[in-house]
Amino acid sequence: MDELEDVLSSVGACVRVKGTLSQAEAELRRKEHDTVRRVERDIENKFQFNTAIAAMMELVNTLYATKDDLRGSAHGPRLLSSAISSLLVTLSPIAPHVCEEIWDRMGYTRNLAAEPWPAYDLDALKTDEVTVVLQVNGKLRSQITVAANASQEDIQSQAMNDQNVSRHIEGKTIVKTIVIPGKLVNVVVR
Amino acid sequence: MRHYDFKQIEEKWQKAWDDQACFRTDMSKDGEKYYVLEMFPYPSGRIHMGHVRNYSIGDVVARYKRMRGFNVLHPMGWDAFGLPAENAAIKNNTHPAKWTYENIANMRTQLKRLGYSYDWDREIATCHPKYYRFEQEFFLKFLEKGLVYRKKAPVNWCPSCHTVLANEQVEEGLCWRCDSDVQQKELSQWFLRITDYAEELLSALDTLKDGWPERVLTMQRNWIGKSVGAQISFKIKELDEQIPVFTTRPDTLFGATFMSLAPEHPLVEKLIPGTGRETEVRAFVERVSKMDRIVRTAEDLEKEGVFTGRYCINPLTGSEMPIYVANFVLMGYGTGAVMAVPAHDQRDFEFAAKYELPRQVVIMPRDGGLDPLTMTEAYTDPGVMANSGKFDGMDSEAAKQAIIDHLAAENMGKPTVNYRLRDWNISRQRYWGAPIPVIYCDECGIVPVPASQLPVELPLDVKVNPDGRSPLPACESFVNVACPACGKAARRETDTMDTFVESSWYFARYTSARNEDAAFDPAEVAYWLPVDQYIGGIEHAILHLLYSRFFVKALRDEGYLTHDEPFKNLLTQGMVLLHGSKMSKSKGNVVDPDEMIAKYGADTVRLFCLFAAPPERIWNGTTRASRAQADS
Repeated sequence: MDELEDVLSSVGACVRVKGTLSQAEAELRRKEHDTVRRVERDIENKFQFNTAIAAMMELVNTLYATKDDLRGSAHGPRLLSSAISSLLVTLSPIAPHVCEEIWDRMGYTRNLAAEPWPAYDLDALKTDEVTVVLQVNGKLRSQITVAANASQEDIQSQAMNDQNVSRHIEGKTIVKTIVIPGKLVNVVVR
Repeated sequence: MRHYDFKQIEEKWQKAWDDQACFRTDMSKDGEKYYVLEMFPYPSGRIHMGHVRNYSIGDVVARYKRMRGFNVLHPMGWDAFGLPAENAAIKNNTHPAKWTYENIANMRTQLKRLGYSYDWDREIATCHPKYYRFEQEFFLKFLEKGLVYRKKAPVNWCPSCHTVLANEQVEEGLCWRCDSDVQQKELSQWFLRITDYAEELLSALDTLKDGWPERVLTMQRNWIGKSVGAQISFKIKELDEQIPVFTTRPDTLFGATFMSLAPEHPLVEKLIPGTGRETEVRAFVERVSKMDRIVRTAEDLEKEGVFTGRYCINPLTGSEMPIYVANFVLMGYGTGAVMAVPAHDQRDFEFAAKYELPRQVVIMPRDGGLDPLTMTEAYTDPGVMANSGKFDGMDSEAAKQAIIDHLAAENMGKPTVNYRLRDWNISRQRYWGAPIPVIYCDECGIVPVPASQLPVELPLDVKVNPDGRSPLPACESFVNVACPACGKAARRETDTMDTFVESSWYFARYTSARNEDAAFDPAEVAYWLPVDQYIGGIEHAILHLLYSRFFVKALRDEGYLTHDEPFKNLLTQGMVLLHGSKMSKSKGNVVDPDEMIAKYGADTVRLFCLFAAPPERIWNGTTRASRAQADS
């Protein structure tokens, strides 16, 4: 908090941002919105506060990991302020005093106790990664996660390095490799 | 934030919330209503970690729902009558009222220090005349309607607490509060006719299945204990008398080979004259009636009985069945007579073996394989009918209804429903409780206190007796009163109400807590009830939760309430253990919340309570774990 005092402001929780985000910016924004979604779900679903708290701890970790990149970036101060605001709002039912105090220091004039719950943005939750299914001779052997815009060569080389795939092609001759980007890799062997 | 002075900061925000009335509730506010309630505490003096966990769960729900735009009611109060106040008063030479109100003040401070978002303007204490006067009003309405009645009955008596206990307050033969052996005693007591609502209390459990834990629903179902069966009349040979019997197993009637009566059964004295067995039977009855009723129903009880010398007739087979008096048959349940089917009931099997009585198998397992001669225990499962005349070969479950129909057509029996639930004994021979508002007049009998004279205030200018006996019967200014009907000298009832009566309607009173003219403001109570989320310990699965459900239905039928059920959703929190055993003062393993708050701050204590385990799970804490988490 003290470290970020100069960049934080009362922009609100789960705020909108215009323009393209850097990777670190997108990561923090996704974590922020995902945290709100998870805390909401855990409280609504039989009050699983322990997992809600765990989700908030993950957001704190992401804040630590991204803060140095973000304090000087284009959308950084706004996204850091929003993420910390979301953290305070979601944590405040559990630890209300400390959250009110930081909220106040961020420059908000209204009590946190009277603040509405933030609305997370489903678009922010979209990940830039996709799951690709790996087959050998048409049989499911494994799956990998790759960047959505990964090249065909990238996907193919990751597939070949997969432990389970390499076990099934070991000592055999590769006839051909079919790659459907974003979906599937099928290695045909003999 | 490097030097976080939590004490100063927490106090600052608690004051700010208070000054700005952040948590004051008003029906006229925007948003859908949401009523979240934690079971209110007994003001024992200090809150413990179990309380903190319970209230922290409730507070997160309240704050979360407020942020989601709901109009939230989240009140707090005190279940303030009860025995510990009297015991503490004796021990510390003080007055139960003083002890109670001081404890309330202490505990209120403790709760405020935890920053809970209660609407303190609605705080109630059940020992206050402005609260219990309405309970007395309900009592009078119920009395007028016949929903409360006075009866001499064998009651559960706790010799250490000097008071009677409800059936629900006897746990495995022991007092729920002090673990003393419970005795049986005959006393005139006031009963609430909860059995009038047995069917609704049972069937309405289905409306709660989305919101209540299945375990609690099952416990309530079993406690109400509905059994559908038949009442069958057995003619007595040579006498113009019949023995009515309730059975859930009419399918086994062809196998009934003898009859067992409770020793207290009124027919016993009519049966024995002229049989030459008078002395033996009377001696047995005398001996058994001194035995504890609870002991008599225990499974491991040695089954004993004595032949009365008389026979009754099996209405289906026409055969003669010897009539016995047996120690395991009780007068309170069913009709006090049991048609004995040794082949298909284990108790009857043991009894028949001991007294060499005949055994007739009438239900065979579907896959056969039961040898009537060599069987070593009763066959109690369903099967195929045998040795049962025209019912042979039928499925035994189907035969139940067929035999009931047959008996009804022949005028020998009728279908009937029985419940395990008994009426609720609410009389307590204790001082620190709500006075029962009736007067006993030699001329007029039982006279209700006129509504205009309510409340009947509990006198505070008395001293509790060192042995725990109530000082009320000796308090002349309280006892002596003019009969409201004839004006002659009369006496007030000196028993007080079971404190579970107060907790059966407090959740509804919060909606109208400051209304001095009526128990409930109709608009407020209609708006706020039912409680949307109720939170408390599993130990209340039967007692408090069943009584509250009954009260809501009874008050609805008196026109006070419009809802059928008090609690829409129920969360039963697990127990708080320390190093694997229950935290208790006697075990010396109590973690004091105050100490933790002083050391780590309220936020840390709240967070830790919730992070340790999901709410329904047992929280087995260790002080080291809590410190480690708090220090990090």
